[in-house]
Amino acid sequence: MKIVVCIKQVPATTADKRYEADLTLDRASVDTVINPLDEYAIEQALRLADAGKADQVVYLSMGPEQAAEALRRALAMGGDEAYLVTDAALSGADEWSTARVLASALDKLAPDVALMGMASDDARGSLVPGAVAAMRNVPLLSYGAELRLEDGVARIRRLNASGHDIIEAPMPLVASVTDQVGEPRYASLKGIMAAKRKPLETWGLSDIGLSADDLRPLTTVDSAEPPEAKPPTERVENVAPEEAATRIADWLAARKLI
Amino acid sequence: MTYRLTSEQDELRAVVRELADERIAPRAAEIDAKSEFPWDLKELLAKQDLLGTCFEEQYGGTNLDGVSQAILVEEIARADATTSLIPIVQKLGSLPISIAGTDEQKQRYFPRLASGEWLIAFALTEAAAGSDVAANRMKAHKHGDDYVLNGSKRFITHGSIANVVIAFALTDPDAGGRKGMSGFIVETDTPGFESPRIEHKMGIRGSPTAELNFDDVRVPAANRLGEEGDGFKIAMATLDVSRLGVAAQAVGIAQGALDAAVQYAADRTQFGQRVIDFEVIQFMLADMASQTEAARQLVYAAAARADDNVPDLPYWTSAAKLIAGDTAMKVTTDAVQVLGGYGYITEYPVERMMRDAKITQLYEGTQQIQRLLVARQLLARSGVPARP
Amino acid sequence: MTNDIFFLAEFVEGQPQRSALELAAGATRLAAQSGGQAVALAYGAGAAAGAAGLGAHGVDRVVVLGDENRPAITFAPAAAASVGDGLIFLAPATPNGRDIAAALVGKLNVPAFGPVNEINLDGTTLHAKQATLQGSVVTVSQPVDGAATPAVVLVLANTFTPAEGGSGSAEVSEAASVDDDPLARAKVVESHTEEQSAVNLEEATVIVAGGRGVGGPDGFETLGELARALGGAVGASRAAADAGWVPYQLQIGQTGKVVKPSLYLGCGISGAIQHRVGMQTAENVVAINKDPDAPIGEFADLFVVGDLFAIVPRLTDEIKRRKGA
Repeated sequence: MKIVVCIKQVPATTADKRYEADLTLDRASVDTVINPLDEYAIEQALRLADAGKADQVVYLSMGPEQAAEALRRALAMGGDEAYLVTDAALSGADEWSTARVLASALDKLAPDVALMGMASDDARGSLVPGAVAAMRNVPLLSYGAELRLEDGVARIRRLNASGHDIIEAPMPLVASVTDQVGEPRYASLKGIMAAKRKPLETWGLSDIGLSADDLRPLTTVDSAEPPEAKPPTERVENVAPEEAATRIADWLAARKLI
Repeated sequence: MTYRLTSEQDELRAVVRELADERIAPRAAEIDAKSEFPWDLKELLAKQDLLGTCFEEQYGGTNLDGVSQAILVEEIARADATTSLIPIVQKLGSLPISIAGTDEQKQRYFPRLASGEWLIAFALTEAAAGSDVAANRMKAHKHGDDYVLNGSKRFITHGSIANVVIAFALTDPDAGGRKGMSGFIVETDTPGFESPRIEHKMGIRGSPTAELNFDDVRVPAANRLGEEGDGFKIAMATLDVSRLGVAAQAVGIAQGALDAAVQYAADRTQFGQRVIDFEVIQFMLADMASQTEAARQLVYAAAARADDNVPDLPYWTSAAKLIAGDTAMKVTTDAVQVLGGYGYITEYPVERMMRDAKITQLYEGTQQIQRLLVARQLLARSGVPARP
Repeated sequence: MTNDIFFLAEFVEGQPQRSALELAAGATRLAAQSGGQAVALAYGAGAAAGAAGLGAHGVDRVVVLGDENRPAITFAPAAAASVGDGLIFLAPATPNGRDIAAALVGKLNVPAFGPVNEINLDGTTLHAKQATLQGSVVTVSQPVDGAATPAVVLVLANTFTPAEGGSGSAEVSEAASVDDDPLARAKVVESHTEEQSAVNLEEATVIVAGGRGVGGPDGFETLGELARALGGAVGASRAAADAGWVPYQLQIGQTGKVVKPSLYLGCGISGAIQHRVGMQTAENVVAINKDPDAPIGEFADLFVVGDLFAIVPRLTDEIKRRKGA
């Protein structure tokens, strides 16, 4: 049983962001982390490996060369090997081209389960898992609060409005998991030391049978601006609770919200 | 030595800082308020292999260099001084075995210490013999294949929670502490061992500082460290290295207070501007930062020399502990000043850091003892004989 | 290429979800601009029976993808086969909507946008406005020249307002059958009902949300009373959901629901970025927090520093009094 966890290196939440002239993020300018939601996918994969349900945990990322750091960090948490797809043509990749690249790399890695986080921290379409599944022509199990592998099928527990469903599909497949799977482990010191010796291979587009022409982005950004400045916050401080309640009610009434 | 940290050392700092920020710092105030040993954090450090950095790989350790071990302690102490004592004391207690222990002793104890399954303590100080180690009174009588230990120890960090204690006792009372003392590895479930009392302290309140009683405690001769009479020498050689742990702790406490002061000064507005925009505050913060950095570099310089076991090691480690301890005290005191009234209340961490800092001027040799040790090295360097 | 505007219409127990009605309003508006039809792709239990009713919301045509209660992704092959060469495909920015939208992107190699809170058409060129990078930047994007259609657009709740009181009837057809597709192989094998949350948060126009400062389930009772007085729903931060004070279904934020109510009233919520990304497009944000330095104070419209346990009950009474008057 082989799980490939797809991870993405993203700017740290606390980092200041800077944009290039072409309105793409200057990723070299900021501190980076493993997309926090991908860490849950890593944790889920490692828990399955710990429980003997997976023999091999492999990481796959697409990004600039420094995304190898994210893969090393993942390897420090556990797992066996990692692959980075990097190519100048991938700068500014949209969700479609990201999915295309991952799908092609996954064709080569041929996992039983391609596991992903439920969303990326920096762009919130959450379309990559489903798009990859469609491109690879395999089932999708999405938004799992837990992934189980048993009896040759994969099952997820997925929350809905009134409880949860157990949804299953035959492997190979693509699955995505939420932060309900459990807190990601910290890399141990021995894990960090061992990670330096684990295989980490870098692939160019040609290694996965693609060319820059296959990946022409389908979307283009017209403009990127800071959010419209809101009017300054109105503060109510040092007043009695009755006064505070009245002030809120007045404020709501003035905006016809009550 | 290389004068820049390696990428591995930078990475270690980043990893420990993340762990400390996320898991240790949020517990610090509670640990202090309740005076409770943080068992959860001990487990966490053990799980992350951070209690085994001073042990060789064959015992399950990671055998990090001295600078890396200093970075580890520093980053934990930046969040919580109490928790930083867990690796500090694990090393302090293990050093006598590293220095004078047999392979059998190492094989018996190091794996359990490296994994964090067991805690160890170093029991040298007695009520009437603090800085004056040679005045120790606890005795060990040879009795067949065993030694029988009688006496008591005081101010023993982790003494009440350790699974094993390194205890120093007189095997030859007539020869006195310097020549007649021996070191023993005592497992604390041995009958006759007890820790009747825990001190109430100003700082590092979550770290139990215990009084230990030895009432006819039988220890196999195989648990003696080195030869009879080697005790004083082993203890001093231990402290020459272990005080680096305290020095790194002091740097970490200072850095924690500095960071808190900068954060506060940036957030707080007075007289229509941020506190940090007042030059008088900038000058204070600049001094605090410069002093902390100076102390840190001296600690690293000493740590690198400890790895090389240089002949004048006490010169380096005592100077490092002296400077780092005094810096921690000054920087934490100044941090309280930067925060003003808020610095004096428990809602902010700096008053705790100031209380914690004080111990670094006291334990593992007071600052006065460090000066004596540095001066002794100075005299030796200059060829001036010690006072007859 | 036709200029039709397709949208996903999810049905639960015979009823179109509010998202379906919102997207119907959006699709109708966009279709009027593009000169095409507004076409619903209806799925879920009761979709066939309820399909024609979408005509009352201005929808021209309804294609029924399937009438059963099964995982949303399994309707994706039929959806992909039904959108033809439409101009735009709108999907709600919900897990189900994203799953189907994603499959379309992968199957048809079409551009994807969103989640957006504003869509404009310039002739037949789409301009999609969205906040990315955790709200630190607002971008407007469009398909590249020559990109395949339809452009897939995820739409945040409350971006469009459902049209009321229409009387039209839509032409209903069944989706052409699709050969066995691996995406259709996911199936629900067990279903567990745990909590009944009366209001779907993503559709609520008023949300009273509580965080760590609410202190426990009792505190949420107090918030619930305020929510009822305001005609809204209760939401929560991850801290409150993790603590088990409310079910995860009420969690707002990066890993919970993304909401866009006209009023968001946050009580005892610090406003960490992970929560903020779930509610930053709310039209009016009121926060009550005892910590004057809480981050939420920096982006709320009205920030009240004080004890929520003292203020909220009084606010509830005050609102009941004014509504009764």
